[in-house]
Amino acid sequence: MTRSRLLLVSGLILVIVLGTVVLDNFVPLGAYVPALALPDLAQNFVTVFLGIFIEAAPFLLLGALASGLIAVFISPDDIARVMPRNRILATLVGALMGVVFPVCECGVIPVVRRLCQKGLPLSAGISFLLGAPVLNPIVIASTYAAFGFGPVFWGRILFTLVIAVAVGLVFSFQPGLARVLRPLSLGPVMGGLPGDARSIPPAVVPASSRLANLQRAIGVAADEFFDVAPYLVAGSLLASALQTFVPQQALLGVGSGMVLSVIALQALAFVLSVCSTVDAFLALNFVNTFTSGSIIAFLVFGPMIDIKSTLMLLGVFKRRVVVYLILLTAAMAFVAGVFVNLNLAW
Amino acid sequence: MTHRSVSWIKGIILAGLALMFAVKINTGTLNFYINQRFAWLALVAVLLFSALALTVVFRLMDRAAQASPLWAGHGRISLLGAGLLALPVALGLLVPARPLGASALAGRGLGLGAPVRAGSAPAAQRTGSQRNIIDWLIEISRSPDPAALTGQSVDVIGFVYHDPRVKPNQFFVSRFAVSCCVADATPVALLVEIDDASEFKTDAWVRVVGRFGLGEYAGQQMPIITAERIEATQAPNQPYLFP
Repeated sequence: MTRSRLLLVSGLILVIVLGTVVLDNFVPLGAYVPALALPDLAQNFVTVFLGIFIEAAPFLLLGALASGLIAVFISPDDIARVMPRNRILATLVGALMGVVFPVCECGVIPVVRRLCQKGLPLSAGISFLLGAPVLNPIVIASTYAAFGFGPVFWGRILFTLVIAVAVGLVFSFQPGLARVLRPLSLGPVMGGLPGDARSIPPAVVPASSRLANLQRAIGVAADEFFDVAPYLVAGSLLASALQTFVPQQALLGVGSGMVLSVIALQALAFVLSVCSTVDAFLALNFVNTFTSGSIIAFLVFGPMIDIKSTLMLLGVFKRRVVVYLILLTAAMAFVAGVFVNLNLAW
Repeated sequence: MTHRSVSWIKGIILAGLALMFAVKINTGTLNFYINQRFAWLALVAVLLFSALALTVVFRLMDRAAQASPLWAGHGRISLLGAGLLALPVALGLLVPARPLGASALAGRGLGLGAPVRAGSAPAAQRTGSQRNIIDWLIEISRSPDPAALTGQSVDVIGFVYHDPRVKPNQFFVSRFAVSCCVADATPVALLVEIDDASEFKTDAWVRVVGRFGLGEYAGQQMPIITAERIEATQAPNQPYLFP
């Protein structure tokens, strides 16, 4: 490490540590910016926006870090060795990969993009994208904690698996990644931007120490973060605006209708953009007023698609693909919810 | 933009995000945004943001890395993207932190049922006057005959909410229940009866001491605290209840 580097590192650390102490102990910012005492609604908007961002950003960071590690340490050969050749089997494996990579809907997007660049079949990538936010140990545990081993628990797992695999199979008929991913998301091997060399397989990179590789992985993670995080901010803004300025009572008034209740809770899941790790506890609030089918639809559809994840998907996939993803999953979750309501009376 | 300036912008934004998270943790206002169960994640974010900031700025110093093909991918950031990411930093540092209050309650509809965690957590870890608002709502919803609770002493803290439908000698003492972040905040409330109810201003934090009873609100049977004593109090460090 050179001297200038050391200076810079210590400088940054000092700024962060001293900055926090100075800010709240000696210079209470609030006293110096009275102009920013906002009206109530604007203040609520800021609070909800920061709430969603603060909750989601760590997950996105962990996802970006995982993506960086995959970029540097996993080769396309590794993936080819693990994935079954059979299309249906590969899609099923994709949907269940969340058991190994426990990621929620924020973290999954950079990981999927990276894995697809490394040669993961698109169908498996899509089923991973849709399945992983529910089919992972953390979410399964929180769903159990909220609902026990009841119909909602099994319904959530079963329908998520079915929808993830079905939509994945639909996408397996796409001829190439170039038609699905945005150009920026494609590595140079697949004809993306010539300037984007981030997906160079490790063999091309000059052999170097483990530490240098780790540093490279973190660098990739930083770039990954900047590719997706602006969409997280935009999604959080939109979700908090809708929450603050549109009363929810209108949505919640239709709890007992067989069909309307399902639509209402799917719309609510889309608008709220709550992380899949805790949406089960939120859903508990609706148990007494809403039909079982609508609660299952809420728990199946919300983790797959919501405002925040839609915007993040738009950063990675082509617009046409995102529209298909939303329509297909929304329609299937709707059918699942109504099916439960009509056929299984609990 | 040159690669160098892009790297500087990225480094500054990442350091700013680390700072914003660190300030929220340090001032204890993190509780205004997320359930305290997830506080460790914010700490992880501070560490990761700092690590990313350092790595991005390191690359500026590293001439060998700039010559390698890996450098080529780092030259991208849109102004809009940078601006969007600067937004949480600016709002987090400049807007004084304030938890949701009565004004957020109007749009959400009052939660008079209990946000129960069935299957886990035993009904009420706390009993009698130890109970908070959620504990009381759970106790009422679990009890086969809520009338049996009549006369028990109540001692709860919350903010004042004047609902247009209540009688002039009543108001709601309310909290928000937050299971993940404020996006899922659900209001919970108990009706309070006291002669000078209008003296208590909306959003003021109060401690209500009284007796539990059953009354009527909007045509429904409803638990009511007959207040013996109401005192103004500081907003608690954890303004929300974490069920």
